[in-house]
Amino acid sequence: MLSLAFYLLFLLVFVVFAVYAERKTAAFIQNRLGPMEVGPRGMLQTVADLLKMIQKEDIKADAVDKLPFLIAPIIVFVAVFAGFSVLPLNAEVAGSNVSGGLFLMLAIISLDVLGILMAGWASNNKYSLFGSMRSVAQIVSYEIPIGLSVLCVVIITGTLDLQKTSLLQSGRGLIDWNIIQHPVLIIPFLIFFISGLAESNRTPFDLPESESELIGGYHTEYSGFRWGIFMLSEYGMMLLLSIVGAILFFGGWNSPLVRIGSWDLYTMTSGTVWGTFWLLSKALLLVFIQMWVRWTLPRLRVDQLMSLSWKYLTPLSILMLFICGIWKLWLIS
Amino acid sequence: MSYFKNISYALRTVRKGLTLTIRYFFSARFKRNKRPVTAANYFEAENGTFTVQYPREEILVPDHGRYKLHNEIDDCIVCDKCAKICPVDCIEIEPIRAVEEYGKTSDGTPLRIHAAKFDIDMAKCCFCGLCTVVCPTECLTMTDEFDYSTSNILDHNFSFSKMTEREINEKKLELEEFQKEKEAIKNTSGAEKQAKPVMKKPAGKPVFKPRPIPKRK
Amino acid sequence: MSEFVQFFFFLLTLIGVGVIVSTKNVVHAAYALALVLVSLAGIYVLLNAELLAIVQILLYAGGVVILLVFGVMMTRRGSEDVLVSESKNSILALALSLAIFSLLVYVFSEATFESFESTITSDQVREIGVSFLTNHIVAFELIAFVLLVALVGASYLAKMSSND
Repeated sequence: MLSLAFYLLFLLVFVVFAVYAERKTAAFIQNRLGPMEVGPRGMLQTVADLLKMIQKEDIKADAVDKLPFLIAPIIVFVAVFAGFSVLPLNAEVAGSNVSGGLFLMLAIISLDVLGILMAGWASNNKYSLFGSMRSVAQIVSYEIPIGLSVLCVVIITGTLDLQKTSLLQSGRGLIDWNIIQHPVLIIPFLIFFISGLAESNRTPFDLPESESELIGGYHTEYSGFRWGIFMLSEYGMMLLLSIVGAILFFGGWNSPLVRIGSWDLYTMTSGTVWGTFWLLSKALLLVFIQMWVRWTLPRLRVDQLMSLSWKYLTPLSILMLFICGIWKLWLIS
Repeated sequence: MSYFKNISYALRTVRKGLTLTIRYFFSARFKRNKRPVTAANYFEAENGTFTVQYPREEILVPDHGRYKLHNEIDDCIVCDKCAKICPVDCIEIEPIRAVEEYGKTSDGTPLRIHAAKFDIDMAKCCFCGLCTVVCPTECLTMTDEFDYSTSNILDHNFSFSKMTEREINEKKLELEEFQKEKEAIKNTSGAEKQAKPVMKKPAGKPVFKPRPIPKRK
Repeated sequence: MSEFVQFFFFLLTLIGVGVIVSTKNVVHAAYALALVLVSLAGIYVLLNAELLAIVQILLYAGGVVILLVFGVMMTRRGSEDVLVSESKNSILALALSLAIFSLLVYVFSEATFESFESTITSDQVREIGVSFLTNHIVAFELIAFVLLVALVGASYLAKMSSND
């Protein structure tokens, strides 16, 4: 409960500054300065934008399917945010005590498709409908590689509990991280990262939204606060997948510093606050990489998207599952 | 085999793109130098951000740039040449002849006409610069001021005349009286033709003479 | 507290079922089905069957319903704005469902349930996984085989339609 409350607050602050960071990253990559006017170096630009957004009218077009239209953004947000419930925060604060924590997270975040579908269908708008159909096809396809790549880690660690996964990687710093202890996990991490981009509808997989073709896709008809909830969910999904990636592959809340001689940096940088700091900074680094990718690669075509998932990532992840099984059976036991 | 080729091609191109963008990301620490157009390396590529935060900083403008017109009214002999040559008729002049030479411009040309109105409508101006070329006393120049946008287009009409309403009326009356006087003189004694030396001289002949520009070969 | 939550989930299930039966809009019925399935998952959690609840959400709410709605959207005919389901033969349907209902009531009232304390609370996933690969290996392999056949069939159908 404590971790969930923390994550709710953190998510709200995160979204404000992630939007700012996104715009700054885009600007720097494109030799621009980005927002500079509101607050020091434009730090409060997103706050101003949010204030503007909240004041906007909550427009419901006449032809929309009223009830589904109104609850769709809430379903999307609840589905994404429920995924945070199983995440640990540091060595003391674990997430929800479910036997299949990771599995539950994957199951619950797959529900956000329902909200997206509902939004697209209820909007009664061809762009929205196309957007949501693309989104469903994309998320359903990419759930397979993401599930299989997570399964690779589960095979090696032998647990679905994210807190236990973190505990298994603690002790000696960097060298205990899954991705370094078990180098076979490098390819599953790449698969996880790519599929994670697709799951959170980020460029180069932002076909459901694609401003240039679909004018925003499933949230074309939304304005004001409800649109803001979609935005919040998208950034929430980014953060969620980054935290999960950090826990599964990069040691979770464990400090990356190693003991050098008698100078025990690892113990010095471990603890409740330090743990939270390490987990969140690893996750934010992954979020930055997501942004970096977004401003580098162009959007894929629909058929390219499907062939990437079904012809490349899925077979590769099945192969990696097999290799990880061998690794677990013969090489480390 | 194109399957594995595709994979390696994708990996290579993604890696290349990512290294390129991260290089740009870190080069945002620097700011591009502001160079004048005349600088030899003006077109050279440079790293760093090139946003000009306009009201706070400005792009360097060449000295001979053609922007807002300015008339140094004290030097203006109100010869009306600029108004005549203007292709878009943006200069509007209302002259009042002075009864006598009332001063000299900074280059020594006598002033004989008052400018009751010297308006330049920059909203009409086409920035050709012809008026500055014909100006005999070089009082009409183009400045480097380029930002004079207003919310009302009428504010783009810049008035350069310094004369007040009262002064204008005064000068008009003076001229009228002078002309009446002249008429009277003409009517009473037609023989006194040499009594008006003021009007005999050609009006407003400039001291400065434009030199012919040698043709380049 | 637990009873209250349980009651809440029962209520949600009943509302969902009511909407499915009463609405004529197929898409709304599918949404209500999702509601029913998720609230059933909630009941499973209260009955200490966490893994079953997760599978319920993943497969039924996240998979079956989505594909259902997706199918409805893909097959929307022409300019029909709302898909309306028809209700014919209502008397026959009523009789049939009453028959099934009474059959179920009879079966449940006659059956004697062994009351057992749930022994697997700590690591259900492990227990279920182990029993899949030991006691129920034949069923497990058969399911895998069925899935393989389905996959091959699907790719065959996809290939056939692209050749036309």
